[in-house]
Amino acid sequence: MKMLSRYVRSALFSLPRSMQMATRATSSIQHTLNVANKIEKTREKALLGGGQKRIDAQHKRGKLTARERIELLVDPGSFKEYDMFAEHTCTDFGMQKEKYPGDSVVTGRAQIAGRTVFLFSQDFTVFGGSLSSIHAKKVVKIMKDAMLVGAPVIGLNDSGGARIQEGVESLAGYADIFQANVMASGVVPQISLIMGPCAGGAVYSPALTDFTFMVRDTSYLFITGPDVVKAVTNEEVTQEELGGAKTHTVTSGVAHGAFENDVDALMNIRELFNYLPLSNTDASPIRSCDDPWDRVVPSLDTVVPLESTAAYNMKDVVLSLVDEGDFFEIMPDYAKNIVVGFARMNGRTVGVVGNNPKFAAGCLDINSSVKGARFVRFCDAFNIPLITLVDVPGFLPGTAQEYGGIIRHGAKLLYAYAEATVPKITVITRKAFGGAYDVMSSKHLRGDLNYAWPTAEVAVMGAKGAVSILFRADKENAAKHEEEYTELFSNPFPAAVRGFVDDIIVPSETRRRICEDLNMLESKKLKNPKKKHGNIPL
Amino acid sequence: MGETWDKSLVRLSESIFGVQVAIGICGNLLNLTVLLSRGMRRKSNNLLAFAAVSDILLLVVLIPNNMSRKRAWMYTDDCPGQVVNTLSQFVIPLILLICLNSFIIYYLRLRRHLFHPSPRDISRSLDEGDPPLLDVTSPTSPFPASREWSRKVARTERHITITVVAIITCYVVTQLPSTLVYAEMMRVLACVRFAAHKGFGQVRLASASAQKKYVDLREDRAIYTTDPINYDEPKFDKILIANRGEIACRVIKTARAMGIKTVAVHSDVDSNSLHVRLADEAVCVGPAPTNQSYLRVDKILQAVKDTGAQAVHPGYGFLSENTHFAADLEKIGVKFIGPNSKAILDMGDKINSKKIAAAAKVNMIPGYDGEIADEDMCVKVANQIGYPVMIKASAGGGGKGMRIAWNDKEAREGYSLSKREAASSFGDDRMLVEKFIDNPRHIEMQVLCDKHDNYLWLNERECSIQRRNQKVIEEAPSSFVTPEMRRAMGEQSVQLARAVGYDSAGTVEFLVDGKRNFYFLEMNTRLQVEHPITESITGIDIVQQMLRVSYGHKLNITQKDVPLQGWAFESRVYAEDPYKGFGLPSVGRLSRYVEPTHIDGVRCDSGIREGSEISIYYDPLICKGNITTKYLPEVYPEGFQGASLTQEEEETVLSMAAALNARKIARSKQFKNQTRQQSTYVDPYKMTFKFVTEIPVEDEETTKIPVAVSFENGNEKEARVTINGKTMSISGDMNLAQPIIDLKANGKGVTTQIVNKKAGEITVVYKGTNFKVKVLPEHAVDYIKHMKPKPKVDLSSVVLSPMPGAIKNVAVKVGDMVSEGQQLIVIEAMKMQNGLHAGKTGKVKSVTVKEGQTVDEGEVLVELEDIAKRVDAYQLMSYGGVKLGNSPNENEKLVVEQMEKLHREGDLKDRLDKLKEKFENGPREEDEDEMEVVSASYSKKDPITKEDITDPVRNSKCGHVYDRESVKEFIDMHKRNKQA
Repeated sequence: MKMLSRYVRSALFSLPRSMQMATRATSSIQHTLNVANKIEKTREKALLGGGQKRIDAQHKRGKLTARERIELLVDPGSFKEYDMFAEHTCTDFGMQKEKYPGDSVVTGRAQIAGRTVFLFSQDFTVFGGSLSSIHAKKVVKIMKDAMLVGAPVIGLNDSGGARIQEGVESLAGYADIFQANVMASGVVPQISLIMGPCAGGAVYSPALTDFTFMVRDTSYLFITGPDVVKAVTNEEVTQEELGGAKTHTVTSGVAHGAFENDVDALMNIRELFNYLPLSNTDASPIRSCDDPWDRVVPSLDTVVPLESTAAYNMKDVVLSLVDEGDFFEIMPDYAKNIVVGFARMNGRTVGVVGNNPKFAAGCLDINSSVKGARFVRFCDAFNIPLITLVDVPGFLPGTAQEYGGIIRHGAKLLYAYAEATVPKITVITRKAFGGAYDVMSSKHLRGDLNYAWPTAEVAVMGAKGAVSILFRADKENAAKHEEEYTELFSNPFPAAVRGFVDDIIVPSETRRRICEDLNMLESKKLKNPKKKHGNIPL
Repeated sequence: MGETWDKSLVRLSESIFGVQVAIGICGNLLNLTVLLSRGMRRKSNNLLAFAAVSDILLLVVLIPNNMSRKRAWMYTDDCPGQVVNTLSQFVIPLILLICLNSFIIYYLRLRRHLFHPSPRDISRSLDEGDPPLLDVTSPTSPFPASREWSRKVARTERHITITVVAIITCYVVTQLPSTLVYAEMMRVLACVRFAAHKGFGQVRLASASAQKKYVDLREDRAIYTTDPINYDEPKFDKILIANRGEIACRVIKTARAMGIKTVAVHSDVDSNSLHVRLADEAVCVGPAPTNQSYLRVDKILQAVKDTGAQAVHPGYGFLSENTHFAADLEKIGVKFIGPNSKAILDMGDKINSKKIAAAAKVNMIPGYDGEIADEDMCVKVANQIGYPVMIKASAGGGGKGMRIAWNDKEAREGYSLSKREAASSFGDDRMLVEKFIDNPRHIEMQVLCDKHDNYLWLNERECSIQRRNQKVIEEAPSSFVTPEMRRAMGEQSVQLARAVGYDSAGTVEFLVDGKRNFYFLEMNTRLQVEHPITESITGIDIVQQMLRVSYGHKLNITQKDVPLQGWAFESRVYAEDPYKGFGLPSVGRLSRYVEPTHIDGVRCDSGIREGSEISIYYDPLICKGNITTKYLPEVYPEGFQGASLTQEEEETVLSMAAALNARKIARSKQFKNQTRQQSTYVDPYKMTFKFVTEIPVEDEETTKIPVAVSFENGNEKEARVTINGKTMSISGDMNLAQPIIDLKANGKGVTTQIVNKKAGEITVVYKGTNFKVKVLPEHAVDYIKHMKPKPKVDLSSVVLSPMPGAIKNVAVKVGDMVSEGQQLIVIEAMKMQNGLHAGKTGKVKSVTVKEGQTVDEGEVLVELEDIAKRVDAYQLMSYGGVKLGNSPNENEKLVVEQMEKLHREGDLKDRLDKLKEKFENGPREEDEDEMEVVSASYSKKDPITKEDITDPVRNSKCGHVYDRESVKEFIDMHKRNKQA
């Protein structure tokens, strides 16, 4: 019975199926063609973004479209797009009638100089690049993929903000991106390039990434625009003044650099990318190098002026020390009293930190400490060796600094150096005074190799200050005491005899020494105690 | 049998011995000959010769004596006695001899290589292919410790060598039949000494090459063919060079070649400079400013006394034409290497020199014969002579304190400026006026005279290529001068020299007009900056002759010995920023410095090295490049017309830039420790790189040329570039780190430099010119056209410091009204005074500097409140419907607010035009788009929107009105319009 019923059932089912097959056979060719056609059409539409008119408008503003930007950024033909057919889900305010395949962001992976990168590029021509839930999902997807394989994420931001029509969904999308940013932080390098407006909550995604760059005159970053500012504080301010590239690279320190235009910016991001390892498990990249590793640099012998109070530019030292003078400076216009950036030594990427006596005597203040600390932590997170050039007269005194919390901010740099386990090489070029000496990658903070140039002065403070304390009563003989103090302390010997510097080296041979040391330190193994995470004084 | 055997043995041994002795004698004779041929003038050579002679004598005298004894010993069996005899007769003299020889070698090495190595020795050993010597006394390392170290190494090595020689000698002596050995030893010693003579420095070379050589002491004396150094002649033992920079180095080089010790003087900032390092001794004479160091006669005299220098060479500039200095030196019995003070006095004063020259029948220019007392007199005299006139300082030279005036106003201005400059530069502010010859040539004649009535002219130099009355390029001989003219000029120059009793090297300057008439200008009683070109074409070392002549020697050449061979030109390399007013001095450190001395016929005279500081205190002259080559008309029969890139050359530049950029990109793919993409890895040198290139020119549309680069067979040294449908091969080592890159473009040699290589832009040097080439990926061509040019910042309302320098004069104070072009501030840097002018008419808002203050480049010195802006502010207010207040104070506040706003927003004109256009043409599509953006973000809204513009003024023109009344009128007009 059972058998029968099964047979009947199968017969019953098989009949209509075969009939069905027959009917479909006639229409299936058409259908396949239709689908293929539809795919083609949709692709075409996706490639056009918000339409030719909007593309032209974008161009008129001196900006490129999302896809053009990707084309310039990555190796030709290497871009693989994800989620080209994704569409937004909003039905309010008649939004269901206006859909663009891919919505307001282009995502995917590609290669830069043959190495994988994941990227998203917001499309201003579609709803002003505003962030919908699908937009956020696409972005989060590539970020997760990037973490999975260990490849950097580059975001090209050009967005008007949240998609107001979607309401809270849009906000949720932001939060998803923030969460992904935080999870990826320290796992893969994340770079943001602001190429248009970026306002409101949207600003926090770039702020969470490792590097934020801007394009001059066409990009803006602010929490609230000039109108709201006017309404709330009655302050009249322009967009450029409130959140332009100049503001963020010079005054606020939010952006790490600014470029002239879209093309220039994208070309430069390529350069930066080549310095970076792909993830926290990769070693600092070594590229083939034309500059002899043992090149003697005679100009370093005279770079430190004879007059110990005279200023010089630490960038001169950096540029002549590193491979071919190629130095990708981070935050070149902010807190100029510290120079940080990427360079190569014998082809290997290194992070360079140097006090710059040309500005504010090279002292450490709030801004420079924070700038240095963030860079040191990035290098430590991604296995990039640190080279520290020290010429620091101390922390900047004064009420402005104390009220601003120099203690807390200075501690950040101290924390960052103390925590770092990457190879750390330090060269004291001239002054290394007081607490600032300790902070700047000293031997005591697990510096691997610490060198002093013959011009180095390692002491608690300068002669004048010290004498005014030590011989407070004996004011007449101050000059004599100062001389005595200078004789005793204003040289590299006190540190060298105690082993706080490993050697006193001839400046012109610094490059050779550092290259040798980096080779030696390649196998350095150092681990901090296991912990959930440290508590850096934020 | 035995006896015969013995006898024959003895004969054999005697004949062998004879041969050995002969060899020994020959060796020594050879040594002697070589010494003689090289000139036995130096003490060291004398010693070597003495050693050789004494060896020969010993061989001749001692050996036969020994031999007879030896023979006697052979025929008797009295061995022990004979051994003692032999010891006393032979071994002891031998040991003495060895000691003597060792001592001589030791002493020589010590002397020659430790205490006084001359550049000549070094250059000779270099010529002979030896690796470069480390000169211990001229510190190669900036730190005493390493200097001491290298000395120690040298000393130890010497000890070792000598010990080893001694041990081997003793060993050999005791082991072999002594007589034979003795002769052999003599020969060996002769050879060793010969080696020592050749430059025993080789012993130390191992350590020398291990260290890097910073100071190349090698000086190519090959150009000095006419007057080789005679080492026999008596000379000064020590001279002091009272100058700095390249001329000090120049004098030191010849002095050292002659075997004269040198003393350098320097200011404290110059402590590490090249001339200090080259000299045997150095004395610091004060702080950086020249009037506290190099111009301090007292300190220099003290330095002369302290160091015991017998003579002082002043170089050029500074004290070179200071008669007091020359006289003071004479007082303390020190020679001044230059003409006698009377000649300096006569010729240094332009007024007096003209009188003497006229008397000596030298052609003169029309002009006023005497000092100009004040501005009025200057104008009067100028009118008499007829404009244009040249106003110059009587004591002047080198373009300082010199102005050309074309009218009365300029004459006044030029007079006071020049006078001030003269006072500060020369301490003598007497002024002269003379006719300014338009389109002139500046040709000068080098003369060389001695104290024995010999006067020579060493051909002319043409220095017509000048900038701001300062010579930049000099050539010798001039292509304009005919042989007859040359002779006439030479003879007149010599007449003048004779008239003043001239007794050193000097220069008679002539002004030559288009018809080859020449007029006496002045006589420079010093060594000129441009003397090397004369040296190049005559083969005469002028500095050597100056040193000889001032010692009292006669000139060892006569007029007919002075040749004229080839053509030389000199180009002065200055530290300047060519893009700032065609060359304002620029200061800083030389981060990279390589002289092109590897090219034949190139001579570089410089006083700096890599890492040297070019400071605001001194002349920014870096180097004088000298090229001796074929005579100009042979190369350019129609004359050199200047050059611009031909199409082929442009293609070469672009191809080169593209190839270098391709190499850069290919290399950026060559990671050594990134292993992720192995399966898809493509050898970057097998790829084709497609670029779009252009050489951008400011404010001009330039063509973008597509270029494709591939590397042949993946060889990174062979690039094939396709450009404009042609193929060009760029080959050579495209090393991106080298300072100079030698490439071949289609087989033709091209030398280039990468000045910088930024992302998408590479700056290469082609034929001495920097070309900033944009090299972008091929697909960028469609995109770069969308990039907007950056607006230019309007700096007319501020006066910025164009360079670091000291403020000499501030002519305005806050609240002054100034007109456009008015001079506000005079800034002095590198001995040049520059006037800074107002870019706009307006009221002075702030003056941030005081006289005497030093300022940095780009510092704001004066800020102007722009009245035009004020008017625009009013206008904008009326456009924007801002109501004016009732009281003037209220108005003022509003206006200031508006102005500040304008200031923030940058270019006002643009903004106004935009507003006007927006209103007149109605909203555009683009704006609608913009509105959409606004709704999507919280952003952008014009501070004054079109809704706000309720009643604009059409067709009303607002000129730049500068007074308040008209502004008010203007605003009232607006109000009326509004109401109507």
